[in-house]
Amino acid sequence: MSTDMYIVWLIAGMTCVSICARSFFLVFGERFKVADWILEAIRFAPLAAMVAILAPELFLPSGASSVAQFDLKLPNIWGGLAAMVAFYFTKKMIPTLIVGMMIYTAAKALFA
Amino acid sequence: MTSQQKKAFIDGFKDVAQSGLTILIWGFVTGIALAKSTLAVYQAIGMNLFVYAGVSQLAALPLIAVAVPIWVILITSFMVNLRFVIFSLALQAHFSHLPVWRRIFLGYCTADFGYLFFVKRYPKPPSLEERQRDPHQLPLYSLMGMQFANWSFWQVGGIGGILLASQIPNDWGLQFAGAVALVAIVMPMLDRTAARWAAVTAAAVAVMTYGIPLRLNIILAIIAAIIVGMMTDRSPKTRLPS
Repeated sequence: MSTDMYIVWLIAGMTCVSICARSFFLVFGERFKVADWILEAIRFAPLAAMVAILAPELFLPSGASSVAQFDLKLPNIWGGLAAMVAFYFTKKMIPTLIVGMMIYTAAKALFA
Repeated sequence: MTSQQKKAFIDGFKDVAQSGLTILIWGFVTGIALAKSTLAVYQAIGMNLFVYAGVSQLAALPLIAVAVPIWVILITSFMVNLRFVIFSLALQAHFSHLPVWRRIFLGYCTADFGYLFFVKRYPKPPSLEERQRDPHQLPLYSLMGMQFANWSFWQVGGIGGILLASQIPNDWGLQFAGAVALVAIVMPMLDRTAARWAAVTAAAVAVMTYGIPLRLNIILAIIAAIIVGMMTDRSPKTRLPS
């Protein structure tokens, strides 16, 4: 198989995977009803998913393969904490971005 | 579309557009990673347009570079997308009455941000009778507005990143900017004690188990957060006897 066809089939396949995963329980239609306690439980799922994607970006170096690479000299940690403090006080995106990036850059220079 | 449906669509669009900058930055960062991979520019754009799943695209890149068999990448991709399987449960409770192709398309278009804002706006699914009596189907149009906003910001960011990647130096720390932008999305969600405990749990589990394959740390973090969230939730239960 040529590299071009490999990529075409891969994109088609990955698109199908996006469709299957996101409509997994939707395809069943009226054939079953989701129990109330399940709906109650998964209220925390979207928050948890975002945190689970975010936390390693803040607390581990990029391209890390395990938690053993945790290091307090990582500028991400300090930039991330600064961003949280900035958002707590300002409740706005732009100041959060500016403060977070400034502390990140400073910490990077400091620990370099 | 009736005028009420149009309003629901626009309100939904605005909900997600508030987080537009965050989606744009994540898209941009993902686009840069796609452009710097072994993919050609048109392949990268095609993947971003059709696959439309950032984390799964990023997980696939190192596998594509060493040309592993397609089925291995597809299994990885599904595992990385497991959170959407959970999300589809809540969508099912809202939209099980629609025709099957409509449901599948609706599911495909519901990425993280669209889902997040939808369950925020409609936390309680209506009963089947209520849904069938509702002629306007406003939640549906609201969700479509959210999806449209999510998709547009993601594609502008992603394709922008793919095309501009060669102009952006690595040391700008853009990847970290994406993380900071997500902080501003997550923080307002921590408005209750249970949500805070759930978030701390998810963060700890996701970091501690980062080493396990297939990004299964995401799904472990969600399961742990659900358990801790339910245990710490002291709001009065409104569970109906079934």
